[in-house]
Amino acid sequence: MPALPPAPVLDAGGGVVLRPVRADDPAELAAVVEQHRDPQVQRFTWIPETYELVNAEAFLANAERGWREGDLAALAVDVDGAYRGTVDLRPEDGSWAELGFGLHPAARGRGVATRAVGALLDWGFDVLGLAGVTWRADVENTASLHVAQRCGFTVEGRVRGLLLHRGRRVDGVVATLLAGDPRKPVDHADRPLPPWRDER
Amino acid sequence: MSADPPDRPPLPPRPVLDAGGGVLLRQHRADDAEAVFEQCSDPEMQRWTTVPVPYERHHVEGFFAHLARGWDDGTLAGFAVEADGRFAGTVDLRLGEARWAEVGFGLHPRARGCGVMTRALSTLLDWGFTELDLVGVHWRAVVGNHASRRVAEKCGFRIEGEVRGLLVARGQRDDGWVGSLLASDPH
Repeated sequence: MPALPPAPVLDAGGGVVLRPVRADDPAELAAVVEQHRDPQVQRFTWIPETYELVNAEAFLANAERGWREGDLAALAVDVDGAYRGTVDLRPEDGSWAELGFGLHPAARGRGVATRAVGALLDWGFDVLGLAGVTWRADVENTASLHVAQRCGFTVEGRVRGLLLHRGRRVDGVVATLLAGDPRKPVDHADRPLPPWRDER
Repeated sequence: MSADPPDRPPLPPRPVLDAGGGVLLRQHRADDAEAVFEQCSDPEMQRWTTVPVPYERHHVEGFFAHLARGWDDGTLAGFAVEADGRFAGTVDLRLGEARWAEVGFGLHPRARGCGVMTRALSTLLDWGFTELDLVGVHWRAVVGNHASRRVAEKCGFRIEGEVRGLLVARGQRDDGWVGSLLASDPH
């Protein structure tokens, strides 16, 4: 696994900027706690059920560690100057990576994650030279699925027991995006994507 | 980030399992080495599995040590498949968390095409669900490995995906099929 370049700042458009996390910023730590206490995040992410400041410190410290050790390229999603979540690529063998992302509840439903993931994917393909990216999520995590589909991922499997969640296996969906794939929603005619919350 | 303890109990003493039709699952023996070497040098094994290429005789010793270690630490339940008294291949369960496992299997060329692996895998799955109390088992194979897929389907696996870049072999990514079988499925 090659070393990662320095963490970049990426303009994702629409006031969304990806930047290195600020592990010693009290406002950022407080926002990380809020994000991870949210029921949606608790349901689909493998994190402590009682999320405290110490967990937020460990979360941001791990994001910084990942750049040094080369196994996690995580950036803060900044919207109009405030921390609103993270997006990450976890490099694997053979020029592939796995995608992860999570948003603060205040930033959901208006395309922030799609912009952020899109910008990180561009960087991953262009700068890291990735050949492909895998996305996996709980079958019931439709918000995550819609972000992946809007970014061009093709859903290729729905597998029982795919994911480990709090010591249990749960059913998961898996999708991939190759460097050469069109970066627009794959036509799933039977399952059209819903509008953004503020377009309804 | 794991908050949960590993859920992987030690394996019981190695059994000998009768799969019927002259097929037996048993521990590997030193005198299987030549047949293992022949099997792993076979082009089909090299094309579809992660065996070293070129396959050399010292790889057999490493494989036997890997099997012994895996049984001792509870991560790998690997059996030699014997058909009509001769070594015919290997079948294994790679034990993961939350009482799930992944299957792996390969046959010596002389034992292919007569249902030996379907008997062997089916017997291993029964043992895994009954004795190891497994909840579910995954199967993955490189897209195009129809022989493996036929065995999985005959043993009751539901094929659930064809995923680009799913598998890594010798540093290269291959598209993969993935399927699962639950203890509660008919099989």
